[in-house]
Amino acid sequence: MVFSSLIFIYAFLPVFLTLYYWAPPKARNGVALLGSLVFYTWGEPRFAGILVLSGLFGYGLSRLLVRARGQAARRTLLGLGVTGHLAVLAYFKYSNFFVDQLNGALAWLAQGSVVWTAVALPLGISFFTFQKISYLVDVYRGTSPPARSVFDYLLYVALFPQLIAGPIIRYHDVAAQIAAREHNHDRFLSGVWRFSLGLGRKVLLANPLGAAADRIFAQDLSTLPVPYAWIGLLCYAFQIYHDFAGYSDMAIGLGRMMGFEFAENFNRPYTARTVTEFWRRWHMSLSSFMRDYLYIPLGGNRAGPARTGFNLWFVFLVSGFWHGASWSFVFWGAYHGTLLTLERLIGVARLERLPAFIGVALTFSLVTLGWLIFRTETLPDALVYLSRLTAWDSWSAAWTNPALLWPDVISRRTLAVLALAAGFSFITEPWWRRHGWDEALPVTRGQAALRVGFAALCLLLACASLAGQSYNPFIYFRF
Amino acid sequence: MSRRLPVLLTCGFFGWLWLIGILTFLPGLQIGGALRGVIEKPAAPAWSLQGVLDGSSFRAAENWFSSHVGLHNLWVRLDNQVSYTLLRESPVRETGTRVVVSPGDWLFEHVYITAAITPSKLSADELADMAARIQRVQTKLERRGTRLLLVVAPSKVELYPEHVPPAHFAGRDPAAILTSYERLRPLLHEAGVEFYDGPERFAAWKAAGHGSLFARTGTHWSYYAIYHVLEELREKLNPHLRRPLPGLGLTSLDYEQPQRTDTDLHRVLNLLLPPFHEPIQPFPVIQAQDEVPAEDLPRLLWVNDSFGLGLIDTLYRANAMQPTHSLYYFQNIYSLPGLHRQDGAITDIEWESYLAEFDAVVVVLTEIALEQQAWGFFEALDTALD
Repeated sequence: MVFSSLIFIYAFLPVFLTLYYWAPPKARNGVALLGSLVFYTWGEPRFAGILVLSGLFGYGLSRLLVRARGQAARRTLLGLGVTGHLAVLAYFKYSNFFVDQLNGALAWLAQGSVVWTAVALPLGISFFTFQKISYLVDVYRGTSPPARSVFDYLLYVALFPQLIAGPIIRYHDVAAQIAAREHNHDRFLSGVWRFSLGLGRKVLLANPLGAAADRIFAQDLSTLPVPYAWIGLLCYAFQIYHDFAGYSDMAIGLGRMMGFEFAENFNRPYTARTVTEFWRRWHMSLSSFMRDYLYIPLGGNRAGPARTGFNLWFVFLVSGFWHGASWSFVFWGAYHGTLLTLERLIGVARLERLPAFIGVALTFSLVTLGWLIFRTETLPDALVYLSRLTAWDSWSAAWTNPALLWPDVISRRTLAVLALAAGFSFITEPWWRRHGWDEALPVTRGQAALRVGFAALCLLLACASLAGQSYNPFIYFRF
Repeated sequence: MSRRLPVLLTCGFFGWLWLIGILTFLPGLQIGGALRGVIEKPAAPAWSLQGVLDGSSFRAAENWFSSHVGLHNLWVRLDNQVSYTLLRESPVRETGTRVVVSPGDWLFEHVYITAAITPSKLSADELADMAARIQRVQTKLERRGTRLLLVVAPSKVELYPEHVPPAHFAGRDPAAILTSYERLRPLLHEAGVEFYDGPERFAAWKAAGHGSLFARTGTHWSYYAIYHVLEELREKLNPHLRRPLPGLGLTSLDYEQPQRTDTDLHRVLNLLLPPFHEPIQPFPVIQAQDEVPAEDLPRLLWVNDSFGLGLIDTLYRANAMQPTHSLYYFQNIYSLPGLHRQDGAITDIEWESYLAEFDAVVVVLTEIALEQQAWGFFEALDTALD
């Protein structure tokens, strides 16, 4: 089940929220855990066991970690836990990839291939694995006390708003909220507002842009007319942002409806003036996880420019690979690692002194080129696509090739949504602040009314769009 | 802010979620009017252990829920109306009929636009074979006292290209593209095939200043044009029929609103509101004849696509034809009037005895469907009959 589905909004959510608020405060965590397990089981019944069993493994280790005497034992237990969690992730997410690589190498050496049954990927495993690691490390470092009970721990891992696609919540950020949190109408309504906004971003912006990008990227890239190349890339750049950020908005909103306050995951990343700043604004929960649990332990920026550059590059390589088991993601990570290293060499402060317009345009261009690597199947595909961005002689093909005709590929809705998504993405932080839109609660009566109206509009139009996708009639029956 | 307002808003949100959720299971309370067009609605999920384990039952439940959600029809119409009103287009869907909205609310089916700018792919030999086969079937039927009439219906796009947004034509001129039908036409004449050349007749009517041949909001020839087509078909058929078609008792023309297939494209858009420009479209009001007794009316076998439905409907409104069959798309047998699907497969038909029941065989297909050679009908008869 995903948040942007009618069954979630009109079946799961009313039942869950009613039971949640009906239950006495002490029982609400139990309802939340049960609801989360139902939510996960609904989508992936086969993998619910993995979520729970690996959770029990993590919790058991944390109890041992608390009782362990001596640094060596604690280190060993932490190492065992982290390795165990990563092994589960590696098996489910990366084993197919590594077997494919091995078989490729064996074929090259004219040897037989490894017989392998492809492993299915459990939903959200990348996210909940990192959360489990975060918990173990927090307990090891003493940043947080261990969970009061296995139920609290499972609730932290499986809490449905953030289970599938983050934000990656760190244990010390929610430990106190799991123990006790305030429920009130203002917070609940703030959650409704945020959820509706996220639903609108996902369904009304990201989905149509994604459909257009899919249509374009599915074409023969080597003959792709230049306007499609640009529109496809832009559609994807705004799709991935609004899709992911919209999902995070929904997660944060759902969390607020349950009294939780999750950390923000996106902060207008396309207004960044450097790639370094972009990564402070994009998928912030992953960036901070990588910083705290990988970059700093590697030495961070304390061991000279060369080592810092390597650390950055390595962290981004890992981060890229975390996004998906394919070379494209590795290259994408390496691309960003290289950009960040270069920015460090040039001097981030110097780059930030560039006029804002130039900095934003340059950063957006570099990031968008990175999305090309992310979206295409292979690096050669990305290079071919890149060449089509300047294939000016192919301009007219968009209007003369009946198989790839402009009105068939790029609907007016696509263009309108692209303009809207771009406008929404480039509104700067001061504007949001000046008008109080970055606050959880409305700051004036007028804004409260606007929020209610806008949330209702987003909810209505998103539901209309979701229902519309379920009805694609033929004019007459054929046979 | 009043402390009551947050409470009210919270209750409103809960109430809204519950209302839509409950309405999902009360289909009788759906509002928004029935949706038009043909779609295969997802069946209710069949829950089984295997289905639960592999997730297929859950997916089926989600699909079912999405297509039955409370106020579903209203949601669909709202989504379509947003696209139509703000963007002057119908939402792009992966499947289903794609409607192109042109200025002045001229609606076109996308498939006809593609056909109009796609040159014929059939070889000269294939076309010659097709004409020869139709001629052979015509002769074989004639020998059995059954008249064959091939009726080729025109494409709205070919007739009214000036109303299609030029961007859809890929810089091509439909008039300059030779379609399979345009290449077949002289071969049919040469072979002596008796056929009704809808595209040629409609072009002539248009040149003579006749309007309303296609409704702006329809994809098929208009009911107004159907009346004139039937008059010409009578002239072609009657000299060869033992039981001729009686005249169609046209009493008046109704100019109120487009009716039946004259508004089929608009209906399939499933909007909340009527189109901005709902054009005047004459609809023939026909008086059912009662002079010719039922047993003296002709029995025609129809092999047709949806262009045949208007002809059949008009003939029954005029009480001009006996109950009969339609081999719709030559896929299934339907009884007429009413278009009820019959048991039995077309492949099981014993043609010699079956054809003896009919005075004539009328094959109706659109010019763009000609490449499909009447869906195998001529080939089947050519093989089955000596």
